[in-house]
Amino acid sequence: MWIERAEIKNFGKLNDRKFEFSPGFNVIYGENEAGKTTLQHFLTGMLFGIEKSRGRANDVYTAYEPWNSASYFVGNMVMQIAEKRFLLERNFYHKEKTVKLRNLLDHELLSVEMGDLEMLLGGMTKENYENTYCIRQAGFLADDSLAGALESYMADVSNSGDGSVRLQAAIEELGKKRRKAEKERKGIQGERQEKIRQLTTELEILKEDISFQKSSELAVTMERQQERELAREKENGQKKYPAFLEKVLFILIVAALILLFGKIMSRILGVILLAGSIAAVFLLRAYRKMEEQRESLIVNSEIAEGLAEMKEQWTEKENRYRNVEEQLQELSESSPREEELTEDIKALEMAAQVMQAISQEIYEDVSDSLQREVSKNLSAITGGKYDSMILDKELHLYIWEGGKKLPVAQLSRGTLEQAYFAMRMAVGKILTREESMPVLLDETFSMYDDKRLVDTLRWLSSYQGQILLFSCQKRELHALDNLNIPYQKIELT
Amino acid sequence: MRFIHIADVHLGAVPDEGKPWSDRRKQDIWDTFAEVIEVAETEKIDFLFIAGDLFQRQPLLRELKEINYLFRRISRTKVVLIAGNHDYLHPKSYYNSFQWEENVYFIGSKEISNISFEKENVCIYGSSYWQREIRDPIYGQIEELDTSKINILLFHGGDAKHIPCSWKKLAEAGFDYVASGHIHQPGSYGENRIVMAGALQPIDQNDTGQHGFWMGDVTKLGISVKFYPVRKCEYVHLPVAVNGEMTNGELIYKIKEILSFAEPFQIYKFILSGKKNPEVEFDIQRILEMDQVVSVVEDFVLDYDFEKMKETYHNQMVGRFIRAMENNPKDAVAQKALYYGVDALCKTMR
Repeated sequence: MWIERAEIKNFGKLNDRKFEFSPGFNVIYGENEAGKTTLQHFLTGMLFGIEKSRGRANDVYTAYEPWNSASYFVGNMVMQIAEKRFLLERNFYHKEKTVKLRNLLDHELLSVEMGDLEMLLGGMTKENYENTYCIRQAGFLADDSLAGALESYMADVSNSGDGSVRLQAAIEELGKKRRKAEKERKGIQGERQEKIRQLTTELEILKEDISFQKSSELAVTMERQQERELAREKENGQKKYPAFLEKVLFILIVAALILLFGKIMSRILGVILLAGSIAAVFLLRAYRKMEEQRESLIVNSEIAEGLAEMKEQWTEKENRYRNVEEQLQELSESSPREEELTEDIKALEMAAQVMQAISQEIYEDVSDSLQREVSKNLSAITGGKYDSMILDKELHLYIWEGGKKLPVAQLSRGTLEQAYFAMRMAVGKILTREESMPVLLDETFSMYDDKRLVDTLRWLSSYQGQILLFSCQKRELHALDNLNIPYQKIELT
Repeated sequence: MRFIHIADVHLGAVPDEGKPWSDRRKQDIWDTFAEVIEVAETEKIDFLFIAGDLFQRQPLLRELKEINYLFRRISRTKVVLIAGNHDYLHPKSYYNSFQWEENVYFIGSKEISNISFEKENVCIYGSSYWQREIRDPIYGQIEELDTSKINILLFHGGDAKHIPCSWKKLAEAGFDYVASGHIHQPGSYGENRIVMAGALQPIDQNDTGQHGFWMGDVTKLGISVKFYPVRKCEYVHLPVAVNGEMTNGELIYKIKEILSFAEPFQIYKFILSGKKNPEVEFDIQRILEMDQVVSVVEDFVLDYDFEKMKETYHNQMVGRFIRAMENNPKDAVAQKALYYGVDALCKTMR
């Protein structure tokens, strides 16, 4: 972009003034108080607007509020961008602020509010401009915001000039998605953990129940009773045997045997008696046995039933215990959705990491090229005296001198200004990659000695864009004449 | 000989846990089993084969009592069952000691054994699971069959971890009917001589299609068996085509339209496939909250042509990112990362 003409209707001390500029080197010469700084503020005001700040008396708005009529605070300018001419008109008056932008080729009206002007200027902001190409009187030091602007710029933009993609924003977007996925996964995991907790409690209760039931007094007593009962049965089997009846039968048998040795009748009687007694013994034994067995069976089966019932209860619990264990086993594995989320999270992390790596590469590329650019610039300005500069992340400048890294603050005032000038021009070059901007220099070289002034002007003349140099001295004009550098002279009176 | 063949009833399973219809599904499984018992009664069925996994886990005593009661109601039907991998014979399983009704024959042996029914001239072979997995193809060596009898095999398994077995081999073994279980999808092989009953009711959302029981007649002359679906619940996996032009509203409309034609017993799993416009956000949660929707699979790819983008944005962030991602191993995570990254970068474009 270059400014073709400017028309000030009413701005500070200037009214009804027209200026025409060349696309190359312009020197605006004027004595003190001729309005050079006013003109510079008018130009930047046209480009970026002027906000009236509340309660601050010495802001730009108040400083250039027209002396004669405050509400008529108006101007326009014509600029060329990519060989297209645009007319920009502004009324700065804060109560009737207006701005119009028109393409003079097809008279299309553009909208500054919608960002058309910002787009035409390649995204250049007022802050960035004032930190680079727009160098105001006694303002050679860029403020801290330049460091921030440059840093975010370096992280944001690929060194190939693609400003349309914002890397940091993309990384943030990935982070947002990752946090969302993590939250969902945590929720699902929480539910699963809760279920596991419940089942574990159930498992513990079952375990306690089982061991309690197994060891309970009742169970133990019953078991013992059953054992005792069995033992007693055995004893009883012998004890209960009816000795008395057996003795009687024994006597009968003896009597029968005696009878056997008698006469025929007594023999017959003896045989019958003997057979009868023996049969009686067997019958008696069989009957007793049956009776006893039946009795013990009744007693025993009662105990056994009780025990079986109890065993059944705890076996049931043991089965439930195993089922709960199985459920817990199943729950110990994460669900398919969890797996999917885990994969998503990994993928999001991976994408962000790759972007971080690219961002770092870009940062290094940009800071390398910036450092080279600053070094080159300073070398040109200082006639090769300083040719190696170092720029750290905070944009602090260091200079190599005699094998030592010196902070630029240790340099002379003139050289310090030159170092910062070199840096502003280098950063400006990066920030204006999309669209060139005029370099505004307000008394920038007043501290330069003649030799460095000549070196600087010679170097500046190679600049491809527009230069507006404001000066109250004639030394720049003379130097340019001596160097045979073509320039347009505009005299402010 | 008339028979009913079921398997994988999974009594006690709780399908779709967390969904409002989960309790109903759990009850459906019990109800369907009871209904099969009713059918056995009305159809005067001789044999009911249950080819494993009658229960989801170790059966509890009260559960066994429940089904034993049902079996008592069909006393003219002989019930033959085996334990599958879910309800396998744990040393303390009630299967070991349970007193079944007289008409119930539980084949609890580890090795293949058989029960002969002289009156019906039927010999039924089978074995039960004693652990969760059996990796041996134990049906490889089946003894010589008495070909004068109707020989039936109850079989549970068929995959690598559960008695691997080829259908061909089973067909060659000479059974008149093989009543199989384990695979939840019903199917038949070898002119219906080998039938995989399928789950009686679907147990989870992947048991798609119809489920039910098989009923038929087997004699020495041949087999006739038919599948009878019980349509209490059917899971449908429905691919829904999305394309680069589709908006969220359109998708929601499409899903609602599909559901408006759905049978009341259907439960849908939608698989969104095709291409999605990267600018469009599908409201999956909203679909999941609709009735009869159990899950939504996002199987679409974002409508990005990476090769073309690599060229178009060669010197820009997007191209640089795609190139950098190419250095990563090409797995599922990297593929997703590529999409997420390009998506995030494109969103920040002015």
